[in-house]
Amino acid sequence: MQEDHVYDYPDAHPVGEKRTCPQRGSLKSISVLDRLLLTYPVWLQLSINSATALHILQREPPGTFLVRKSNTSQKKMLCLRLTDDSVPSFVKQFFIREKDSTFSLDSSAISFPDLCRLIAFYCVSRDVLPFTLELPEAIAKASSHKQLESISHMGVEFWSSQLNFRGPRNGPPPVLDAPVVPNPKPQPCTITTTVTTASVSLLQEFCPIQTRSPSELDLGAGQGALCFINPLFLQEHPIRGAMHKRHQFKRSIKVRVSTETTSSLSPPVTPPPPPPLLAKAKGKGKKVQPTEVVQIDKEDKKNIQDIKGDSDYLQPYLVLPKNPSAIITQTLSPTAEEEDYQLPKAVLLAENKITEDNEKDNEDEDIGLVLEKRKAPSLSELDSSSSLSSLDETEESPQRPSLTRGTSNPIISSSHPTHQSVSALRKMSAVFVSFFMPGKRVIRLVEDLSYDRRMSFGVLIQDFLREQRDAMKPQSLTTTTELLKGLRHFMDQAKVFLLECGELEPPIETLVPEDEKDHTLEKALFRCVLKPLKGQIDTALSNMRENDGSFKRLAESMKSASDASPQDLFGVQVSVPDAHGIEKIKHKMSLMRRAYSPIDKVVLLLQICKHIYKAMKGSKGQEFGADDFLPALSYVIVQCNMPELSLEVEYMMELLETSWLTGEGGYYLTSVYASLSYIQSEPKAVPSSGLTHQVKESLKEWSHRRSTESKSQNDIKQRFVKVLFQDGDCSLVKTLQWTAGLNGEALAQLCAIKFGVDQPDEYGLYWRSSGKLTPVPLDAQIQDLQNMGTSSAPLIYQHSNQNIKSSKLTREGALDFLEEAS
Amino acid sequence: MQDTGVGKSSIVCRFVQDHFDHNISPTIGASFLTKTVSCGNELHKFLIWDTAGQERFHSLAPMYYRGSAAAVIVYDITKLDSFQTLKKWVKELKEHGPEDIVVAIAGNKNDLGDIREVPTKDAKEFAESIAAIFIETSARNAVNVEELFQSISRQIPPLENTDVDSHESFKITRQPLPPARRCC
Repeated sequence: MQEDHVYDYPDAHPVGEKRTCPQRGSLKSISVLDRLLLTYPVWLQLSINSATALHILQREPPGTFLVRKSNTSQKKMLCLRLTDDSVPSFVKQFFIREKDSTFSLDSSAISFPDLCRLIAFYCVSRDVLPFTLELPEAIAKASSHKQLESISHMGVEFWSSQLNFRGPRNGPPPVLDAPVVPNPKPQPCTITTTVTTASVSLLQEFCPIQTRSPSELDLGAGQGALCFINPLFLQEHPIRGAMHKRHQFKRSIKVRVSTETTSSLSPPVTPPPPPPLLAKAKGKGKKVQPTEVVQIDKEDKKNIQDIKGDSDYLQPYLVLPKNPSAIITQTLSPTAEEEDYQLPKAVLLAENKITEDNEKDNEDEDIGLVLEKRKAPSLSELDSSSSLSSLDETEESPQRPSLTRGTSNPIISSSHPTHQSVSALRKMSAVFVSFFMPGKRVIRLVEDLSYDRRMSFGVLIQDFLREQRDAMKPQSLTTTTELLKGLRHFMDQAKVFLLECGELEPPIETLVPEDEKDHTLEKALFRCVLKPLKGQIDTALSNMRENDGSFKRLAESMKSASDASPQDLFGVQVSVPDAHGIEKIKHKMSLMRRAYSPIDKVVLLLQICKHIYKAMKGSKGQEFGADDFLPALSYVIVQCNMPELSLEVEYMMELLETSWLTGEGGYYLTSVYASLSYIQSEPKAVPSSGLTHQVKESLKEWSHRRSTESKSQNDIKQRFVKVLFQDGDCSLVKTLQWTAGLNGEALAQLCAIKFGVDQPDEYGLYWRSSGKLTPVPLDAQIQDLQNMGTSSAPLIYQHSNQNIKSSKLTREGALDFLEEAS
Repeated sequence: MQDTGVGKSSIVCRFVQDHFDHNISPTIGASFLTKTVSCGNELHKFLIWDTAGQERFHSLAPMYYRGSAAAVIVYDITKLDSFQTLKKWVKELKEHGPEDIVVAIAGNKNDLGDIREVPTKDAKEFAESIAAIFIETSARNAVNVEELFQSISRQIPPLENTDVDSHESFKITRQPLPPARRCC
């Protein structure tokens, strides 16, 4: 709390040196946002109840927080630990409002595109909170992605583990900081000052979207401008920072090194470890790559690039020793090693790309392409340690560019003119605005996941696609309805699967508001399943319609209807679209045929209906009900003379979720369907009463669909277990599917296959209970293990002899590093 | 044809438009309208499906009332014919409609009492015989329109997510609302 004043004077000298400097000094190049993203399994506890939240927070210092979901209101809430003497409770809960695709605290006017950004903001600025959020020490102080990963793997167990050390907040800092804090030399702080100023000016320069003056922000806070808006949060479009981030990334390493020179950090006694990338490349090549390189999908191209990135990295790394600061680099190990281990690949890849870009005169297209590659992270990579840098690439940590820029400017002569990258950025920003709508980001993440055969979701989707491609060959076709129903059924299952397998990272709950979740998932599934199959589905459907003659019948009905004055035939009593209007509608219909997503098709259908209404209205401004609309619609359909429309209607009806069919889209879809069956019943000008045969048939189909709809959900329950694989430096988590009756032995065998282990005998499965690793008995049933409360933390698959070492790494990793560093 | 002109569209428009509040979401045309009303501590969202009343389109009606929670059948109190047609609709609905559908009978044009052809008593008795809601309305003067939908709202069984409708079709889905949550 006492640090709040830092934010009162963002332009002044950093009053918070005490807080800021040690962070710089201890090489905190991982942004708050990254820390949050990497460790969400710790702080994002949607399933816990308020009692559990209280229990966890009770032992934590003020500022510690959790995000959970209220059982009664189903709203997410931020639970903040207050001071012990707070009334009525030491924990205060703030509802999180999810509205208009954004997240915000209930009482605040500031909203964010996703939950992680919201939390990151409140780690820096209190706004409506009594004080800023504090990350647990271990997370705030972790100096490498790997440490964060270890913490993340523990999930909720982290809070009760030894890793979660709770030193007194303002007392003597933990070991890691010890050499840094007492540092009497002012340089690091001076640098910090520059950082602050630089970020502010950067902020102004970019003039981000929601520019709010501190006084505006003051609204909720009470006295004084309590908010200092970090550029991080003004960066609605994280991409903005991407370009110079890439410039800065490498420099940030150098800069950090220079900073360290001034510190009184003494070289560790232990000799520097070998360049980590060798180990990494080796580990990766041996354990992961062989199985994947065979594939030819786009993920592999990424992998190949990754490898390239690795090897590229090696050169500069090896060059470093010639640099005077090389000694320092070594002294920093293992912390620095850990860090470098993670960062450079992306950096150098980016550097290479930038050079290429420059050669091509920064053509927008190229940039777009490069960034698209960077943007669309293969989530698969999240499994390997390399993944995290790709996560970094997506979840741009906008804080970083400004930091590094600020830090680097005073030291490095600007070999990269800043304005150059800025202008490039401006050019790019437009391209990425749409791309970064949170919903679209989810869709893209899911799509990437669906291509990745290393993930169970990817396997599920790709196997299905392959199977469907075979199934849609002409000889094996059944009926159009069967075909579409099969697709819908699969998508329902895949959706449940995706939510349960936990492979989507960060979880969808943090990316889109609750009310848009299902809609976003639907779109994502359409993209994964329908888009790749679009061609085959179309061909198959129209072949079937040709074969059963229904296509021809409809075409004939349309013809005879248009021959016999359609106005009278349908009893049209309003004005209808003219020839020009009909052309426009026909154009929309052809667009509809090209779209793969049923949702897009419905939108086009609604546009068509709107056209018809517009024509009906004429000058009177009268409202028309179905008495007038249905005849007009039938007239238009006959005039457009596109029998293919019936296929489109069926496609939408079968593939849209039921909830869609009761809304406006469903109503007009029903109207078109009704209209088509009326046309097909070959109406006479003299109305006949009773149901015609054709209409009865259509009705049967219609009700059949409606009744089976609800039953088809969730009839296959997928079950998953997360397994963390640890082998030396290699650590990755996979989600494995299992069936009832699977025991520990079988699961271990499965792990051996999945993780590509050569000698399965030497590896074993373990599970963590109250901080201790216990071997999984060979005959243990997986469901029993999960019932024992281990479901949130992954099982661990590792070398039997590594037991002690690895457990130390996971449980006491941070401490180990601290000891070695001191 | 006799079914057209009884004023069902007017009733719906009146219902939806009378209260220009935030509960109305714009739709592209008057055939499909929505409105959210509160009933107890729940909010019910009415998705109102209009059906074409002309006899030539009668056979299509089942597509519209499939899956509806309630149906409103409107007749014109000044036209005896429209009341006879209404009986046909009720019969069809009972035969082909969803089992638990709530049926409401609305005698519209209550403001034209002096040329009334359908006595209130007859209509009421008929409604009672089929356990339907009965109410006389005037879309022009906004009489009893709100009440009509309120009484439907009360009859929708709680905690079931159904929808149905009828010839002057109203598809009604409900959204049970957890306490303390506001719909926007």
